[in-house]
Amino acid sequence: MKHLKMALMGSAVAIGTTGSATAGDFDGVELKMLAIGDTSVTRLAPIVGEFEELTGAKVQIDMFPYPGLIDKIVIEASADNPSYQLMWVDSPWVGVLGESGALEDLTELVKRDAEEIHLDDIIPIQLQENTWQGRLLAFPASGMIWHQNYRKDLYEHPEEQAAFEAKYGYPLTPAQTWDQYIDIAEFFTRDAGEALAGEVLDKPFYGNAQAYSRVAGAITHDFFPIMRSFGGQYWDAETGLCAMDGEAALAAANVMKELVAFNPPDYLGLMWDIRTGYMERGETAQSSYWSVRTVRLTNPDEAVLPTIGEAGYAASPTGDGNPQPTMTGALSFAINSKATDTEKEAAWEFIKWGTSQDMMRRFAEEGSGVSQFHKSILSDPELQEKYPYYQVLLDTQENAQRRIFHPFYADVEEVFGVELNKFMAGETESAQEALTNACTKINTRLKVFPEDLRLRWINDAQAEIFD
Amino acid sequence: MSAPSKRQTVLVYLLLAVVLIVFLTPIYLIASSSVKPSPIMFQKPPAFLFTPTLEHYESLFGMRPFAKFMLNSLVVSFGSTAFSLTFGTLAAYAISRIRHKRMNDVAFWILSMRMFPPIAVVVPYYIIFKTVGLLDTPLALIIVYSTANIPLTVWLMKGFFDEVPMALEEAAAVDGYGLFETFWRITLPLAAPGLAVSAVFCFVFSWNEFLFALMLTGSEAQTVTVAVMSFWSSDAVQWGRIMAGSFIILIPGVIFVLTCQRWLVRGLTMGSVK
Amino acid sequence: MAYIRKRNKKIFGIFLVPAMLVLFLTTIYPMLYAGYLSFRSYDLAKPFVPRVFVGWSNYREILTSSEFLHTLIVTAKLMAMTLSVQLVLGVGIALLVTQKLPGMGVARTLLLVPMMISPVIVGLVWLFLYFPELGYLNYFLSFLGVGAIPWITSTNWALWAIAIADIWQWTPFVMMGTAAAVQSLSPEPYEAAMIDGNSRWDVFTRVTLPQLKPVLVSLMFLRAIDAFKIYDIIFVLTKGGPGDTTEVLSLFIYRQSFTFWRMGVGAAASFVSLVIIVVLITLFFKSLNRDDYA
Repeated sequence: MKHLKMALMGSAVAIGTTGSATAGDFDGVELKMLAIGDTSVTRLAPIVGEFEELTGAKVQIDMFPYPGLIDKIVIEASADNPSYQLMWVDSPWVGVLGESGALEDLTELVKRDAEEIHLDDIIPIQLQENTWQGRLLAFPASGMIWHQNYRKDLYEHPEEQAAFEAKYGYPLTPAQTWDQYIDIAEFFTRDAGEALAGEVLDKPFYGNAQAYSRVAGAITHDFFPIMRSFGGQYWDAETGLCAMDGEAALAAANVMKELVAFNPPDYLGLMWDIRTGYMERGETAQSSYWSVRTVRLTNPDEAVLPTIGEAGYAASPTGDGNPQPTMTGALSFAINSKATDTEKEAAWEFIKWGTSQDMMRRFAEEGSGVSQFHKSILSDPELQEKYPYYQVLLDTQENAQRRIFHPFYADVEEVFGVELNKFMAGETESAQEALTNACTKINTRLKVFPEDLRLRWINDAQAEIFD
Repeated sequence: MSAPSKRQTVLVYLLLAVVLIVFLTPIYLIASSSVKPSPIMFQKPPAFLFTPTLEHYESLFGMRPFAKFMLNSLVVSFGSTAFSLTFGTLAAYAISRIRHKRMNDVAFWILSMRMFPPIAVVVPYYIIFKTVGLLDTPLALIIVYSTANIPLTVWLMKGFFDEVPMALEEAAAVDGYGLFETFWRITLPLAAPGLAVSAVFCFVFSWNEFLFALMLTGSEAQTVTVAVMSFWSSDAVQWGRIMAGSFIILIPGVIFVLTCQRWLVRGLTMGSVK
Repeated sequence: MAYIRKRNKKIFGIFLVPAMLVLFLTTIYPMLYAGYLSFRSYDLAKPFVPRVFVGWSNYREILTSSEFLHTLIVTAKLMAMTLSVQLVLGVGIALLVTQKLPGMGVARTLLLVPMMISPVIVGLVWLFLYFPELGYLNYFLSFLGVGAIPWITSTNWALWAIAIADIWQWTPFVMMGTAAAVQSLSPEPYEAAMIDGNSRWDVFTRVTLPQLKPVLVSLMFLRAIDAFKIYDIIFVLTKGGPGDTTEVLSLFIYRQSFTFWRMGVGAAASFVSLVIIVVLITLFFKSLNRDDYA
């Protein structure tokens, strides 16, 4: 490690004070990226030629399916001479990859190039999201939050507003508490033949659409943000053991169970995008999910809603209406720690290029901006008009907390996926039983390790970038 | 078999129509979804009438080197099929002809190669191929798939060889045919339908395999199955592209089966001439 | 006799040994490696998990695990459901498409198409059909007056949903194998049987079926082995849910080997499952071939 830092410092001096590369610096360097086929990558893949022109380094991006990708990364990382120098990383994987030393520490590079990458302009939690033990191991390419989307046009319809207030005794606005969320879900759940905003429905309309499927861990991707919004913690700060069977987790599981009645009937089969589909077709009043998908609600080519109504965006509801940390996530780029020093420099150059302020603005203008992490972009009035949810992204991240980043994240997702799904399917009597079962299974694995190690794994040390 | 009567003919076609509808509806779904605009991909009730779009096909070839992946799949599938048929057919013939108690055990040992759960051997194969520099090459997949395809061929061909009467071979021996000549000129043509079936199964297995193809390849040897599945990304399952890809990758398989079909009929006529 | 023995030796050497050698060389290392792992604690993703020899404890854990037992039961149920239907349907359709009538060749080819789709993609395609509300299947069924069936979202239906997708994909396998065998049957016994005035059903059970038996047995062996390892379709359709109703053996092994990275446990589970399938197949084999090589 020390050796590498020295080497990097040396090269920084050699390259120049700003650390930015000029044409031909990396002639002959070939980089391969182990990646996925999502927007954060597909918008870059067609233009890697520009990077080659700029630096001389040739980059090839290989895209693989999301299911199985982390397994492929782990196998790849275990090999001594890597096939891939660059890796696409989902932020919860930072723990397992970080603790095994698979990812290169980017902290010093970020500090060195702070000016070039406009470090001040990057939302701090998006960097924190990619840290392990205070060290930055990946760089955000897409910053996400989990937030609510709703039918703005319906919420603003006078008849619906009046009917809602008459029934529940308070005005119809985007839910601030989960109780309100459930009220709204109940209020808007209508059968075919009933009226909605003055028109007779020819098919059912739902109050809410959440995901309950076990496929690709979908159910946990909704459960954990809700648990966090009740102020829940993943881990017990004293012992480092599972705390996801506490009151907040219980409340979250029960909220999800209550929402079943107002969800499309195929709730147990709903995974991420089938669920967002209901919102995108305008068939549900509200749906909360990751902001990477929100962009579709603004685009008539990808969603029906823009042509039949209007989407509104708000922060995730919380337990008591007081602001609780929103959950963030990041889809990031990282460097394989086993790459050679030159490859690492070139790879870092690529990451900087692909996630730079200018590039992200270009993506936003081209329509593939999706989920941003630069304050200047999120607050740009023109872009905000194009992407109305940018304001929510900007506001909520001030009081945000990162996603789970424990090395045993995969176990947590799998075990809670099974147990929560059993509870929702009626196989387990109570939420308490389901959550206790899940925690017991997780703890069985964790108790093998000494307490100080367990406490280290849950320690969200402040990123050492700003000192 | 005698030719069926008129009433039977009608009945046969009726039943066949039902069977075809049941088995081909999902294929129709793939085809129609591959030209369906994304916003109405899922809706209630399902959309049957819509303006078809070619956007999914365009992005399929625009976003991935899909033609190259197709070629990889062809190389891997044909390679493994040829390899497995050669070794498997020979072994099957031996097992069918040698009347010895131990032969059952040999046959069973070969079959057991197909029984081991593949998941447990992914990492060992990765390590070997990495060490010998075969990772991300079609050869690696050909080898792995053959370990499953040889047993399949052996078992299918043994069944077909068993049906070829020994008397024929003894007669050939009397006529002065050598061992290999007898096998090649007499026995194998009679078991040709089995060969066609085995070829199809080997091809199909290699064409469709996902787990090894995902773990053992990168951009050089990636197969179409992995390429199609790679449209399952972190923010969306890109249904339209997956369906477009699935539809395209059906075509080589259908062509291959059609080719084998002719072979199957030829085997049949040769068999009845004898 | 001497001729046969000499001939056998030659056949053995030229025909059989190469295949055995190829199989041995390509599988020996992975098998040994897996065997070695099954006695160890080994986590590929988390090097800080002690990598030590643990004796039989991985095996003990699996054999006493109720989760493992559950997956075995689900796998057995699924095998029974899929294999029986595939056998009956496959043979039935094979008899249908081997009739000497025009268009049968085309029908045979069309019916093979389901087999040419990767099981992972089959899973995705059947999602289109199965969604209770958005799916095509319930839409079609509604015309027959059948109410919405919660195919993949109900603990009562999910296993059937998976079985149906698997049957759809692999009935063509049985059909094709059987059709090829039917076509290579020698015509003499039929002519004799028809002259004797037997009904078609009698001809089928007394003449056709016995002749098809070796091929059908082979086909069923192969199907049984693959069905025992079924994984892809479920991975996409339900991933074991709802609850744990579709948790099959291979999902268990996948979860242990990859997701949890307990590769030792995964390897041990693989060997246990190998023993189970070997025993099952041997019993089946013995009961079928009792008189063959006596």
